[in-house]
Amino acid sequence: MHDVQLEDRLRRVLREEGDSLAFTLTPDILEARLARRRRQSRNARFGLLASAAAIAVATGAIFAVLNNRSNENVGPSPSSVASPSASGAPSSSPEASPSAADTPHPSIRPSGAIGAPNDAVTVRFVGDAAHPDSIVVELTTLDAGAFETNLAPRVLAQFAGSTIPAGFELGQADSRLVLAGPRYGQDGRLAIGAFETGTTNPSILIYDLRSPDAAPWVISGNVNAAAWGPGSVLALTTGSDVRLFDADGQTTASIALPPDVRVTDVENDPLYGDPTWLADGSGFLVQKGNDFTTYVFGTLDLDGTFTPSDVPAPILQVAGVERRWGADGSELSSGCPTEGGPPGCSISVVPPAEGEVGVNWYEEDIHLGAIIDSKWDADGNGVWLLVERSEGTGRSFVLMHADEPKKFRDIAQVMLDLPTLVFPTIVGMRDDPGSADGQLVLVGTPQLGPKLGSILTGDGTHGSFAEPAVFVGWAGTQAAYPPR
Amino acid sequence: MTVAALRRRRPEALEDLLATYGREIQAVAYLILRDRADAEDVVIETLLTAFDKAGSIRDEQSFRAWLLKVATNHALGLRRGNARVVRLHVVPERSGGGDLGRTATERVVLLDGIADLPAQMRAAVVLRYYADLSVDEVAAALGKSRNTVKAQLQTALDRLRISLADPTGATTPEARHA
Repeated sequence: MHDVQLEDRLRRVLREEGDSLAFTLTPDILEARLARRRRQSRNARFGLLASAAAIAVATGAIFAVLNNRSNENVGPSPSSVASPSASGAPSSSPEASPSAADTPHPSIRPSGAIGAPNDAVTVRFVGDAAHPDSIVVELTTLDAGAFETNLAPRVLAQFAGSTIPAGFELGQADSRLVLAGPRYGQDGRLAIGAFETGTTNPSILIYDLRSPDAAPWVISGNVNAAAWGPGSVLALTTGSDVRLFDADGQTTASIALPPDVRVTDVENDPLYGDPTWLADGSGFLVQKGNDFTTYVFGTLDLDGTFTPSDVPAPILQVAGVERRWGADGSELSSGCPTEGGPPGCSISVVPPAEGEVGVNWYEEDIHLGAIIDSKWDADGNGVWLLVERSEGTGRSFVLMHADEPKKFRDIAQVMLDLPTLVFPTIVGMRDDPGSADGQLVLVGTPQLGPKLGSILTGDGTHGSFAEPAVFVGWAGTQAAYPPR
Repeated sequence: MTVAALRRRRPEALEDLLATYGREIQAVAYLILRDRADAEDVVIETLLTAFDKAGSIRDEQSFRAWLLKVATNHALGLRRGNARVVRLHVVPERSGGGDLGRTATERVVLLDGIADLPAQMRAAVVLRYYADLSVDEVAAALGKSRNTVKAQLQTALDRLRISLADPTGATTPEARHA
């Protein structure tokens, strides 16, 4: 029997078998399990609190290990291949990978960043999104005092569409990307998700903004997600390890994941979420557990050592939209009522201590607005809240802030022309005490591709981009926690 | 619409998820696990995972593949936890021959053959031939390379072909004596 015939029979049999099952699950069963699961999750997390002192010691150890192994050699990546694409055709030859002998572990390098730290880096794709005529990388200085009259990006670099290697096309907003969107690295490089044409094989193109005429590097392989770390290091996650690609030295290294450990992101998506670097670049936020429902958080250092940590030590937490826990280890929780409960959704702050109940910080109200997004502010003591407060025909979104429960105040309000089912989210955040503008919050629409709509500031001023652009990062690193 | 509702954590989002994806996830889980109660458990955990991770779901078009990936991981995790469970083979009914009889026997042999595959390979077969995921999507779901999945699928087809050629070899001794 030919494969095609066998495949047809297989499909038929599987469908008959699978589709014949009775389906008896109801929403009530789901809601009951949801309530139970949240209790279990809290119990699992609280069980680790006793190890807080050990965490502090381990933090010191991580630094020591990092400092002592700058010359350590690590084996090359076995399948993720980085190759220069000067010829236009991606190379997949293993010789493009460095050998173990010349593969230093990536280390923190002096930043080669372009622009001031609070400048926003954005990208526009001119022409067809998959095969653009050009890729324009721009820098916008966020001067709140001049927002109403001057929100003019300046071009940092422009890459011709012809630099996209033959056989590749850029990822679309509605397609699976290795990266959630293009990402700017602090060393002046841009990573863009791509596909091998006609396939869904994920790849990453790495452009050097300081060499706009140079062809990008191509990373191909079984990669789930990626994120820039310190300097020129890009971390790539696969199901079994973390690959570190140093774009400066074109070297790779691999960190094997201990059993049942998964690199996760701030939203705790260990499958597709971009990896979350610890603030000092010493490793990653991970979770450990034998399934996706019972797990503990922890950190994975660059040697592959897992350290359980219910709440990573403050210095290890990235400040910005990547912050998962508040300064005291609390978590933000959003929820909507079940039948018979209060009418509106709410935002609560759940303390880390066992037995303490969450404190309600915000309850939806027709006058206050419907919850769209919420994030810890940069120092982890307050909360940014984005609500929709639409009246009449326009869609109006209000950025609010509070440092204590139920004390939200309006910061800025913008009208956004969005389709009905598209909602903006907070895509970027700065809280730089050294800046006169202080707090900056970027609002975009990831559902449409992370298009940047508006910039709102702590003093209530705001501005919008004339042309939709994709926010790809800040020109400089956010000050380490706590910023003030 | 489901993803938008999920992002806003609307109560109806769970109901929508269940109505839209529940049956398919249950079928995928059942075909991997061969246990209806476990399959229902996988449906619940998968949909609650989606509900919890709503903020990180960026891509509506790949949402289904993402859900099936989560479901497969839950199913394989459950299977590891239940490694001591012994699966009973389906006993093919003796028939008087003819097309109907051959079809029924072939169905049983194929289902048994699938159940005998290693778990990861079985998951690949179910995702590819029941859920109609592409090889790349299957690879992403299982955390394997494309070539590994292609090899697994080919091996599975070869094994099933052998089972079909010799149906008695695919059944348990009890079945042969039935």
